[in-house]
Amino acid sequence: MDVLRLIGVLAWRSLLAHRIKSGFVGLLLFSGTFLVVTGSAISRSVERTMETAITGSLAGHMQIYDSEAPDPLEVFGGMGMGQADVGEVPAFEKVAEVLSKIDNVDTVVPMGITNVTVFGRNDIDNVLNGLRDGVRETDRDEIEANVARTRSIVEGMAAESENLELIANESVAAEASRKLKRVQNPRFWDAFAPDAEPGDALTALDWLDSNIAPMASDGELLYIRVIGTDPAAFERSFDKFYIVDGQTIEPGQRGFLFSKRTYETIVKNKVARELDEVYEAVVEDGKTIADDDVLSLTIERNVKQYRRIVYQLDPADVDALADELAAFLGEEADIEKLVQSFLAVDDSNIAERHAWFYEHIAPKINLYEFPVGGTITMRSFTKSGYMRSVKVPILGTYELEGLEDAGVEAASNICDLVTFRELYGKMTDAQMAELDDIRGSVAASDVSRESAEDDLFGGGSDLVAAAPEATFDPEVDAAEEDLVLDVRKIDPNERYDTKQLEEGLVLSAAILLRDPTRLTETLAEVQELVDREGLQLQVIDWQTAAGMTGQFIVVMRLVLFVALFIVFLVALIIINNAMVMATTDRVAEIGTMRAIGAQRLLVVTLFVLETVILGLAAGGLGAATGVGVVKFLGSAGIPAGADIMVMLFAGSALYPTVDILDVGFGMVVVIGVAVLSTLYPAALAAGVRPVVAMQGKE
Amino acid sequence: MAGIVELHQVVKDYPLGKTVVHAVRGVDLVIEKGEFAAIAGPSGSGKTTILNMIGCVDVPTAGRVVVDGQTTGALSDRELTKLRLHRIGFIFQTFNLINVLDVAQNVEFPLLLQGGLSATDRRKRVEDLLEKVGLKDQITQRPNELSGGQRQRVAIARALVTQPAIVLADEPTANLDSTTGAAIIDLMKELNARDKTTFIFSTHDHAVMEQAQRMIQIMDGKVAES
Repeated sequence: MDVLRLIGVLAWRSLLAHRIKSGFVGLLLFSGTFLVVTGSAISRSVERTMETAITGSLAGHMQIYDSEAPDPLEVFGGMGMGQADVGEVPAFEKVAEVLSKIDNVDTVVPMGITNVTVFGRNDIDNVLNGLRDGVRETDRDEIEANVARTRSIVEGMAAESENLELIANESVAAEASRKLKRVQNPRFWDAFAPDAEPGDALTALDWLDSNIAPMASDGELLYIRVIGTDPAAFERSFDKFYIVDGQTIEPGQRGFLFSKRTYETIVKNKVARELDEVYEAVVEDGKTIADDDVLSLTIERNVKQYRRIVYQLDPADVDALADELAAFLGEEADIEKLVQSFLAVDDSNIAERHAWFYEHIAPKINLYEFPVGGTITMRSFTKSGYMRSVKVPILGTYELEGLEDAGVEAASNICDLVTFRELYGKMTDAQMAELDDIRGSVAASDVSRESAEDDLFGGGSDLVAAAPEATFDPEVDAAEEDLVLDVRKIDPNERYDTKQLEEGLVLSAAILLRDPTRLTETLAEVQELVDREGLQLQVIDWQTAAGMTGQFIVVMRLVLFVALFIVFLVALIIINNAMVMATTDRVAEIGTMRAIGAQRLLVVTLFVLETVILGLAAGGLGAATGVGVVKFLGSAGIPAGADIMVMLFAGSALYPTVDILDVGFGMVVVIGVAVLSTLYPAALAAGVRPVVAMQGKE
Repeated sequence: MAGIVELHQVVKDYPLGKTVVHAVRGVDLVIEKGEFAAIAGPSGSGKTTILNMIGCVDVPTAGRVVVDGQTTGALSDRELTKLRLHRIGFIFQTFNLINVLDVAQNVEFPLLLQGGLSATDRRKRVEDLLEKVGLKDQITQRPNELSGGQRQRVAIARALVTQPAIVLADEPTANLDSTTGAAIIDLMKELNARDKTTFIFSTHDHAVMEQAQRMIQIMDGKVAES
């Protein structure tokens, strides 16, 4: 005991005696501990907020899906646009029943995630629809307004058709030019005149529909991600979910909810979108258009897209808007020129024009291509590889609280599970019966691959004499598909039995726990139970289910560890060198101690103790500083720079907290490194021979 | 009667670069308990090497060194250290005090390494010794606050605190002026007379040699005169 106290005194006084060395090593240990404590606190905080964001928005605490799935389940989507094959869970009711046996399981939400394509309408489609309505109802004003709008669109197309010659082959370009010339001829429009033959107008419309409309290029193909689920259970289980516009999908109701993010970034009128972008960059982020090439180009492009505004105007609004714009801009011109000069914003007027746009222009156009209350036709390839379309009512838009700016990660759209199953290719019993009827009527039958030859050409001895409509007839197959797989329009009032949500096919299910801290334990329990029940399912935790996003924390921790490893490796080398030098300086002292009877162990203890004391002091200070900094950040917040950060921070800023664990971890690491870096110098010191005490003479 | 220190045909060679220095070339020497012996000789004669071997900080290349009945060549580093701690006191030419410890702590150091004594007993023994060497008032001072002579007195106190059988002094007066040097030798002599502690010291100072009870003259690694 007394010896230890003596070593303590020796160590402490030696540290004080070698102030420069101690200060230098201390600074390294201080910085190291500071880094460990803040790094560990922030990474744990991110993990916690990310868990809140992910478990509370889509993934739940766990996801369960087909154990034979070729691709891993990533609820927020993988890197590419491709559709992952996550297999199937054929009977959700079985899963729900099995999971209900586990105490910690609170709710199980059925899910099916798929990518669908949606065809955006181009302006000419809208105008031709209006023209058709006018013709049908013999509304002269409507007819004339829409004829005028169609002709102006055609003029625009003709002006742009020169570009076509650059990208299309000669005959295509010539064909397009011939068709446009025909429509540019005023006589074409006689068909819509009051004195025209009845039927002429519809013939002309059909011709326009099939020849001109497809040439318009701005009907965009949108790829969107849709989650089919039990909407009520989804809303109940994910507390971050809330409706922004419209209403939620009621039990038994067919419907579609846009994620607000998708709605704002894909569905919104492109001119408005780009105006928003410039507005945000200049007003919110403080950029200047004059200094920013990207913004200048955006504005230049937006000016050229004036038709996205003009073609959408009701004829009655054209003059009104022209007058308002003329007054606002203080110039006289036609509507096209006025809109173009309005869109040519600069730093000084962007804020004013942005506001003016939403006050005066937005109400006169379809600001969103798919308005809430309208319908959307989703197309998807079914499992068997054919295209299937379902047209459902758009009931509203939703948002995930705190994740409003989180980018595509939070941008999955929602539809009811029944609609999802139709898109996926899962037919209801009624549809199966309908298909059987059709098969009966065309004499179609299933042919297995193994016996195809025999079935088709008659194998064995029993030759079928009469096989009138040969079973293998591509024409018939195509007809069958058309019959069954045409766009299925959902009546907004159509209701289904909500029991359908509790049974049948899903692709995965989200599991929410009563006590999330017991996740690992429950995960094992669930897996064991489904295995025992013989269900071919696998259970993954939220982090795995979040795919790339979930892996971010792993990457972040890896980066942190690599950075800390490098910092400490450098510290280790520097401390080691400093100590080796100190040992050289202290050879006489060590030799003397050894000569008068100190064992080697004492020397090693002395050296290690010195760095441990230094580590405790400097590390303690570093940890305290780290705690202070994290506490400060915890109240000030770390702003989320990029979209992905919003997801990770579960909000626009991270408010990190520090825990005794972080401090403990920091101290253990720093003492560990300190001791490790002293081992070699201590061994050197222990190797000092006592005879050196006698040297320096003779 | 066996001596407290015996050297039998002791040889010590040092490698020096590619050559070998034959520092000690077959020394036979017996020192009896209670002697006050000086080892003298010119620089490089091998006297410090002999002292190192007697002090158990070095072992012979050949021959036998027996200290207090133990043959040093057969002992491990740990056993040699223990032997030094319990049986030998050291006085160095350069004093070799531990600068971060005060006078009392320096003297107490070997006692702490030995263990066994209570804090009070240690304190008493340290204070008695410091009084004996005339440093009672400097007890809380650090070595760098003392003069050379005072430092060497502290070193003497440290060497004696464990009540060793042998005290080795390697040119104890070399870094002191002649008056102080003489005083140190007087002190050593006094302690030798009173406690019968064996003192062996190397020196090439004639004034110091004259004080020795026995002179061992070393020349070219051999005992020239004893």
